[in-house]
Amino acid sequence: MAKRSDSLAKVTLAREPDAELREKISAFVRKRGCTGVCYTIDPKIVGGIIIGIGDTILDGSVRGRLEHIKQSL
Amino acid sequence: MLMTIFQSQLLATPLDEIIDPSSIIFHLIALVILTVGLYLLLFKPVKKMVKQRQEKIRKIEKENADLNEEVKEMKSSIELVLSDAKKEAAVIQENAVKVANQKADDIVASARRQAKSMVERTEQEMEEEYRKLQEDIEAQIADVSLAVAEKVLGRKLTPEDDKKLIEECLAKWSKE
Amino acid sequence: MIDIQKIGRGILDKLDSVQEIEDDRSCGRITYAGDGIIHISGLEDVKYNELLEIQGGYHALALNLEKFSVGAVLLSGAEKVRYGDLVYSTGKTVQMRVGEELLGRIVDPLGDPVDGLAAIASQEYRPVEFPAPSIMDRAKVNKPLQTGILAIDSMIPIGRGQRELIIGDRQTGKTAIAVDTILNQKGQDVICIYVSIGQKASSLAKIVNTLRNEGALAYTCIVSSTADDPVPLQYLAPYSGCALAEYFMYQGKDVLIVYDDLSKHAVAYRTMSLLLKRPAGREAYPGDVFYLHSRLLERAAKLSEEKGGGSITALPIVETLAGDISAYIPTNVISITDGQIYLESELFNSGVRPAVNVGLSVSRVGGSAQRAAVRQISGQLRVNLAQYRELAIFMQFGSDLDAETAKTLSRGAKMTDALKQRQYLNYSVKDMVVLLTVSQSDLVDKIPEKRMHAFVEGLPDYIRVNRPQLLEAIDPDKKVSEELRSKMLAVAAEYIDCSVGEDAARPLAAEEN
Repeated sequence: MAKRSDSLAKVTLAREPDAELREKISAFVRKRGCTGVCYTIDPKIVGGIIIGIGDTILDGSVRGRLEHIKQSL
Repeated sequence: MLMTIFQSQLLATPLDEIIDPSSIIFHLIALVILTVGLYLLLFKPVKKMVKQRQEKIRKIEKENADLNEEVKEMKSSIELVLSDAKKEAAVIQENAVKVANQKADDIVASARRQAKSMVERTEQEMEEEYRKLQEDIEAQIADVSLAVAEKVLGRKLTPEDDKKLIEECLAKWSKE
Repeated sequence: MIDIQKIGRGILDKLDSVQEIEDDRSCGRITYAGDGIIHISGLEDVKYNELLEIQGGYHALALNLEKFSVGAVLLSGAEKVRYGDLVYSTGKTVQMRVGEELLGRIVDPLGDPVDGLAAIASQEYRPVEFPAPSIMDRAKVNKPLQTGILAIDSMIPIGRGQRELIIGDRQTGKTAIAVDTILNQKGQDVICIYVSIGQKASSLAKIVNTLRNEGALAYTCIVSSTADDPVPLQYLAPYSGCALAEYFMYQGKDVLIVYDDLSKHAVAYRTMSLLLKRPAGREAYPGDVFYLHSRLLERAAKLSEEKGGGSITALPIVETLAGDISAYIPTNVISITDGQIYLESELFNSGVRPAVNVGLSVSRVGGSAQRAAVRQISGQLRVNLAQYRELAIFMQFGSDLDAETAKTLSRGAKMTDALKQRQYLNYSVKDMVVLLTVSQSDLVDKIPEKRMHAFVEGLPDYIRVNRPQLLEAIDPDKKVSEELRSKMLAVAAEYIDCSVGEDAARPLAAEEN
């Protein structure tokens, strides 16, 4: 996986994060080699978090899980 | 001829002379000579001729019989050939019938097989239709329940829950 | 009726079996979608020939790996995917479902049924691209594969594990030969796979019906990609069929696979390549069109005893235009295969069916696999026929022939007649031994030329029904003894008496009518 040190992580959340959460998220993305975080608020994902770093997408959203269940059925 | 000679002798000689014993003897001798001569000259050849004739007739008869025999033989052989031919024809016909029967059996068997496979196929198709219907219903139920789940979750999910969920995710990903 | 409880249970079972979602996935986005082709940005770790999953459950095949993008062909959902959709890599190549359950079924190149019947239970898969058996794993072709067609089994014999091309113009009976061969495998312990590549759905339906009616579907699987299927599926079909064949081959079974036809396969590949903007070569085919077919046909093999001794016999079909066998694809495939059966439309139209051109058809390895009896009798056949044809051409202009020439000509014509064969009328090996013996003997002089075909068709039936002991006496694996030969000729003479007698009786009957 390509690690780009100067890239931004795209984080999608259902609602505005508080300061503690922001801190945790930026700590997490820094470990993955990102310098900054770009937040998107999308109520459609219901809950949870989606983080996009480079080509990798980490999908921890409620909507993503529901979709997965739907496809498996 | 004999009579004429005898008569002429009778006429030429007088009666007393006729009864002359020597003449009688002479006559007798003459008669014997005549008889023998006649026998030798006439009877024998005639007899021979008759014999030859008989022989010839017998020969012809034999030939006839032979021919008859031959005709009979020919007749019987013709009959034999005819019956053989008939038999052969019967065999040929029988063979042809056998071949035809075999073909007919084959055709019937294949038709039966086809019919059976058609029935089987239809049954399978029915089953499949049934299964598809069930699957459709399943999918519909799943869709509806998931939509409901989404709505309910959207309303019930508190910011605290959300935060907890996010933290869990982050913790899990960090481990990997 | 519909069991609601069962449906509920089904859903619950499925819910239980839902696998834990894999959150961490490499993904890219579609930057171009059109003509069944997509370009994807991202996805830097994707491999060649990898199966990609597109948002919404569609699939694509990665074929062009470039610096900033990946070119892929869509296997499904060509009209559903949109710009910007997410594409995930799966780390797998395309897999074909395999298993005994596929016999008697019609499946698409991914192993899903398309015959409207129940889902296939088998959960076994094989990659569609698979390396061919190595040199050490191969054995010599030594067992014959009987096509049931006299002209082919006598002069162009095919062995199990051989690759024999069937080539000819359209409408010359190429598929008919393949279908006849499949029908003739009944009870021969051979599994058949018929791969239709870009065929008309109507002609495929006809073939399926024929196979079903003759009871041949029980040992046959049909891998279908019709003309309206997406091009990538047509491209995949022969490889999928081959994967299924390999599944059986590595179990030690004998498999016959028919690719109908490879020229359409090449066209499908050309379409994909042109759309992916690969450089075009001769006849606009891409540079690797030879490799396209060679890697497919190399997978047909006869395995050594240590590997189970299974085999794949491949019968690829190639269509030519106006009899031109020197076009690009035909020459390619001819050079890969172990021989070809060349069908000519001229012969076909003049009533010689199967329209095999004996002069141009060869079999490079099948001869050693031919049954001893057939080999013994058919040895002279090819030479005799060639002589006859030469003489026939030469004599076209001459009017008066001497007796000897006339006899040779009439015998040649009768021999040609004897090789004509109706479709779906397959001869057994024993029938072939009898027919070949009789049609090369002096007996044919007794048969009127017009009756020859009827004679040849009727003789096997006559013997089967009336002289079964003769058939029992024939051992195809032994040479035909002089005694057996005279017995055969005697029976044939018997039948000539019947059939020629019929001929004499027929005009009479006609007059009566």
